[in-house]
Amino acid sequence: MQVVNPQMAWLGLLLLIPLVLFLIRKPAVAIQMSTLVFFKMLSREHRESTWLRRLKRWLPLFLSLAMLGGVVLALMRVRMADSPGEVRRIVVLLDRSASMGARLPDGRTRIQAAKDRLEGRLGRLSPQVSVALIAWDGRAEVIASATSESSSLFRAMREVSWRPVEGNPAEAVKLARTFARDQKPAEIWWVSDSASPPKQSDAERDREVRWISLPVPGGAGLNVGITAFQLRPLPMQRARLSCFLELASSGMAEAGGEAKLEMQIGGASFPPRSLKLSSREPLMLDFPVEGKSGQEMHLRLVAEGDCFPDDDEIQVLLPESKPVVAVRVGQRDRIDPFAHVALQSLVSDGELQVWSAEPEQWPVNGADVVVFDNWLPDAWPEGVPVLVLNPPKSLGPVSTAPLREGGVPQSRIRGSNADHPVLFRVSSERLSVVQDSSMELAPGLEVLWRSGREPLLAAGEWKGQRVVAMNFSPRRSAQLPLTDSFPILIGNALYWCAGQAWTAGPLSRQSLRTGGMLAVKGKQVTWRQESGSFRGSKLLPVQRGLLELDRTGIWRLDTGETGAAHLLSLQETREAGHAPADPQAGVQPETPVGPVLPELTWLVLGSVLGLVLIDSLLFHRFAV
Amino acid sequence: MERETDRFGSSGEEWFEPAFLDRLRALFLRLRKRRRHRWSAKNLRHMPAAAHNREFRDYRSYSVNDDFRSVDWRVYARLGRLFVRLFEELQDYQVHLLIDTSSSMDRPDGRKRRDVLRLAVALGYLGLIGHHRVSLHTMRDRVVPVMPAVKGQGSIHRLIDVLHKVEFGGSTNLRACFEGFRPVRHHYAVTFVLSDLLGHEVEITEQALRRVGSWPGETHVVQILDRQERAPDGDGEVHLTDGETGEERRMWLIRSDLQRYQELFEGFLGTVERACASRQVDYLLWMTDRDFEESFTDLMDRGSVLGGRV
Repeated sequence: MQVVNPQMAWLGLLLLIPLVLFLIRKPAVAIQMSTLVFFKMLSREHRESTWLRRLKRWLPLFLSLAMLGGVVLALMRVRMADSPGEVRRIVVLLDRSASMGARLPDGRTRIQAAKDRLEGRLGRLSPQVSVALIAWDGRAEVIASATSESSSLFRAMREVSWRPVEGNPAEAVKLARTFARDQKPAEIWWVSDSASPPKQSDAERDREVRWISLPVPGGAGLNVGITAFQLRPLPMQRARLSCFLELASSGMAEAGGEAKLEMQIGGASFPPRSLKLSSREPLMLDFPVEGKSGQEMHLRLVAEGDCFPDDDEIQVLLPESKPVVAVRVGQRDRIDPFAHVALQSLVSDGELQVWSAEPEQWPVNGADVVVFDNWLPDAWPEGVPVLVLNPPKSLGPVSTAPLREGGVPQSRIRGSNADHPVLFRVSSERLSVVQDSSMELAPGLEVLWRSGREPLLAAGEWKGQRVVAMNFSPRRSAQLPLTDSFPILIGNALYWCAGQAWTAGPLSRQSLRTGGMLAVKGKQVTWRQESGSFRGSKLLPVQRGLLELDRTGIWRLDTGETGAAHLLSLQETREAGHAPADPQAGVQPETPVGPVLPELTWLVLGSVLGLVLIDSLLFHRFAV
Repeated sequence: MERETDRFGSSGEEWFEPAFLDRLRALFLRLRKRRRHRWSAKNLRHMPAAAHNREFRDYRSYSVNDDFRSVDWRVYARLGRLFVRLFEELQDYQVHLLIDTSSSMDRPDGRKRRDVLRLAVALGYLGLIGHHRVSLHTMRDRVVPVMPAVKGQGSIHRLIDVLHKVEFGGSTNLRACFEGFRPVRHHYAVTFVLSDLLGHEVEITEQALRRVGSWPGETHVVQILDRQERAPDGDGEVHLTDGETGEERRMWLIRSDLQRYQELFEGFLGTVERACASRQVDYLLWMTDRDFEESFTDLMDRGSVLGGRV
C-alpha cells in the first residue's frame, strides 16, 4: 500500500466527531406505562423488520464515518495495489548549463525545447506518480521535490533557464539517486545535450531504478567560442599588459573555418583579426594590449552560423595602476649611500615611491616592497616582498655568518641565470664587490650571482613571499655602485619583488570563470554586459560575503572593487555545437502509469454510494 | 405519554374534596328533575311493574282504560269525581360497585385512580339516596368485597372511609374477577365495573367480558382511560416499564409506530365495545381529561335505573 500524502492522515481525527456524537446521543427515555400489551403487539408486527430497524439505527453513523473516511483517504491518496511495472517516482535531471542556451533553427533555445518536451511527457503521468525536478549546471538545485501537483511542477519548471556556467552533473546525479531511493520503482530522466547519462548500477537495478535518456532536440551544429582568457603584465614593463586567448570551435570542418576576432579598447575599434579555426584543436593567441588603465576592453569572436553567441565575448576593465611603494628601513648611520642614490634615481611620479624609516618605526604598513638596508628586524615580516641589502644577521630565509673585519673582496662574479627578471639588462661581468658575510639560503631562493661557492645575490620565493638578498656592501664595492648595472639591478629587484603591486586590484579578477564563488567585502554588486543573452545592468545583493559568478560581464561592488566573469569553457563550447543525429534517438518509451484513480478511492466511493442507497431503500420501501 | 413523575395525588384529600359531595347533591337534583320530567310525559301505566313497593306521588283524572283499582274512592266520596292515584315505583336495588385497584389504575399520573374513586362515591351516593343497597368490591386478580351492602344516606361516609383505605397495586386478572363474581339475585342488581380493562391481551379481555353479560340485572362497564394511554407521544429510543407486571422493554419508536399504536388501541376499544354490546352490557369510555359532571351525566343518560331509566 502506498500513501502519497501521509501528512493528511491527521484529518482522521475528524472521524472521532460522529463517534462521539453517537456515544453522547440522547439516552433512552424511561417511561412507566399502564400496560405494554399494545407495544408488544407493535413489536410482533415489527418482528420482520427488527433487523432493518437496527440497521437503520446504525446507518447514519456508518454513513458519516464512510464519507469522512473517504474524504481523508482521498486526500491521503492511498493506493492498495500497483499495476505491473508502474512507476512511483520520477526524478528529472534538467541540464541548464551554458550549452543549453544554444539556439535551434526554430528560434527556441535548447532548454526551452527540452522543457516543452518534458511538459508533454510529464502531463501524461497519473497523479499517483511523484516527480522531483533537479536543475544542474556547475552545481545542482532542487527545483521541485517529489510532488504530485503537476501545476506547481510546471510552474517551477518554466522558471528554470540556462546559465552561462560550465556543467558538472556529479552533485545532481547524487541527488537524483537519493530521491529515487525513496520510492520504487523509480525512473531518472536525463535531459541534457551532453554525453549519455551515468550507467545504471547494480544497486539501482535491484532497487528498480531505471535511467531514461531524453536528449535535447537538435541544434544548428556550429559554434565558436573563447575558452580561455588571461591578462598578464608584460615582463619588466610596468603598466603594460598582454592578453592570452584560447579559441575553440565545434561543428567546423576538419580543414577549418573562418572566424574573426574583433577588439575594442576604450571605445576605439581595432582592425579585426581573421582566424582559421578547426574543431580538432583550439587556437591560442597572445598579444599585447594597447590600452590605458581603467579602459574597457571588448573582445568578440564572430563566425557565420554560430548558434551560441554567449561564449564569444570577453568584456573587461583594464586595471587601474598605482605607484609601487617601497620602504627602506635602516639605521641612518649605516644605510648604504649608493643604494640610497640608486633608489632615489628610480623614483617616478605615479610609478614608484620610496620611503625611509628608522628601525624604531618598524613595522610599517602599506608597503609594496620593504628594503632592509644593513638592518634586519627581530621577526621576519610575512606577506610583503623583501629586498635585503647586506644582512647583518640571520633571519627568515637568509642565514649569514660575518666574515673578517672589512669584508672579502670578490672580483670573479659569475651569473647563473641571466634570464632572470632581476638580472634583466644587468651585466654580471667586470664587477667586483666586497662580501661582508657568508650567506646560506633557504630552499626556493635561486642564486643569481656567486663567487666561487659563495652566493652573492639570490632571488626567489619563500613561503609565498618574494625575496631578493644581496650580501655585499655596495659602499665598499669598487666596481659596482657606479656602474649602470647597479641601479638597474636595484630597480629590477624592486619591481620583481613588487610583482603586480602596480595594479589597483589583482589581475586575476578580470579573468574569472563563471560557476564559482568569490569572497568579497561589500553588500551589493552591479553586473553589466553590453551584449549577449544577459545584456544590460543588474543590481544584486551579496549574500554572506560571497559573490556568485553565475553570469558573464563586468561586476562592480559598492566598495569600488571590480572584476569580470566569463564562461571560458571548452566543454560547453563544444557541446553547444554538437547536435544529435536523430532527436528521437535514445528516447525511451512512455513511462507506464497507474489508473487515474487509485483503487481505494473507488472502494470508498462505492461504499458511500451503497450506504446511501440502503438508507433510501429502508426509508422508501420499508418505511424504516 | 407521561413521564414517571408528577403523579396525580396520592392521598385521599386530592380525589375527594368536601365540595365534591355538594356538587354531587346538585347533580343528583338535576338528574331527579330530568327523571320526573320524563315520567310526566309518559303514561305511568307503562311503568314497569316492580314487585316490591310503591310510593304515592300524585293524582290525576280518571280516563278510560285506567285500572279501576287505582281509583281513589275516598276522593270520589268527597268530591264526586273520579281520580286515580299515581305511584312512584320504589325498587330496592342492589348496587354493586366493582373498582379496579390494580397498578395500572394508578398510572400514568393517578388521574384514573382519582376518577374511579370519585365515580364510586358518586354511584354509591346515588344508590344510597335512592334507598338502595350499595356494596363495594375491589378487583385485582380476583374480586374482593371491601364493604358489605349498606343502605341509607348516612352510609355515604362509610363508603368514603372505605374508599380512602383502598390501596392500588398488583396486576389485573379480568377473567378470574368476572368468573368469580356473581351479583345477588334476591334484589335487582345494578353492577358497575369501573376499570381500565388493561393488562391483558385483547382476546382475553374480550372473553372475560362475555362473562359480564351473564350477570343478572343491569351491568355497566365504565372503562376509565388517560389520554396518554390512548394517544402516546414522544419518539426515539424509549425504555418502557409495565406498571402492573414490572416488565421492561426497550424500543425505538418513530412516528409511524405511534400511529400504529393508536390504531391498535382504538381497535382494542372497538373490540371491548362490541363485546359489551353483543351481551347487552352498557359500555362507556371515560376519559380522565373530561369534566366529571359531564361524563357522569352521560353515564346516567345511558339508561341506568339509578338514573331514572324510562
